[in-house]
Amino acid sequence: MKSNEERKAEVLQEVSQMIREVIGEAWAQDAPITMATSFAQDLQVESIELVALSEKLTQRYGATVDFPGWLAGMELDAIIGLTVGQVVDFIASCPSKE
Amino acid sequence: MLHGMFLGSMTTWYFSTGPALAANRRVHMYDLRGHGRSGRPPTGYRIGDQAADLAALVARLAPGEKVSLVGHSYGAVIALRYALDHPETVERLVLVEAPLPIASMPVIETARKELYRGFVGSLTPWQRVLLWFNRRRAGRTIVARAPANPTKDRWLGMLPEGQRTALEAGGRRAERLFAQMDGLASKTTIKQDVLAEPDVADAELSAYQGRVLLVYGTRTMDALKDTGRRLARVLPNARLAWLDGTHALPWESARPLSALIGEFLDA
Repeated sequence: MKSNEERKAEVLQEVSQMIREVIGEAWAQDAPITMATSFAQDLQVESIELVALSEKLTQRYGATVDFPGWLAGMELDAIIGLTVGQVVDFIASCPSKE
Repeated sequence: MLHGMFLGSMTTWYFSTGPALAANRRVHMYDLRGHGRSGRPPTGYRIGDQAADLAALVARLAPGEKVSLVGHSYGAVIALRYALDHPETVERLVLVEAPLPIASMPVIETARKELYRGFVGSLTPWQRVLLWFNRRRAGRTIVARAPANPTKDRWLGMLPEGQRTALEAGGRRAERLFAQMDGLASKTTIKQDVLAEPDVADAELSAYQGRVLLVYGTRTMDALKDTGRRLARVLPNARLAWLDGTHALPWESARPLSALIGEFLDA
């Protein structure tokens, strides 16, 4: 039975890897990605890349992780400031498919 | 759900209206030919071609069923064409900021130039020099000066906030957004195809019996407002709704738009 901290650390690793795959470019493979990393400012990710990430998240974590539905409930400012940490926390808070 | 031209993609709906409607419906969103992650063939951007792509998708995703279509801008004109050609397969039609005739939509050459100016304006002097060299090598002419330009603001004003700030800020997102637009405009026939597109005749519109929701922004361009009023007058079963906003309604007014569309589809 994993602790919450362990699960989050694991999710952070997995999500970071997915982000690197989605961006694909060389610089992204070594870029530091932490809980504080912001999609828009730090990674300069476009919304179309968020769609690709969303698909990977569903594949990995199942339909209980409704990333589009979660974003649909946010204000524009919140989406613009979205961090990797917020996504990790969101995934950790959804019932696991494991 | 269909998106608009150049800088549109399924992300127009994917994180907003799409999930809202998916609460109690099956929703499909796709990237139109030439946009998003769909292929970008050099030709085939006439409304009829795009409507044929849609027909193939509908046949694959909902064979023998009726579908409702939601389109924004160019996507709305495509959805309309499909509905006019295949009325028996369409349940309801939602046209958000549909421009008719699409050839009059002042977005093609001028918008591209203005966006380019804006993009160049965000570069450092050294980056501009490099850009000039690269484009000269590729045999392309260039607009190297980027003064503050009122028409640039008008075009940037047509974009949703996220894209506008990204273009103004420069950097990777601006480059990619610009590359998307520039690639479409310079490597495909989209401009010529759209400029050659005829209007849809009133006679054809008035024969379409299906239920239509027309949504326009109170602060959109006059040509679009006129189109809204015309469509409302000519389509026998249409309702015209105004939402506060500009052409970029799906981003600016996502919540009210989703609610309006949901209500219409459920009614």
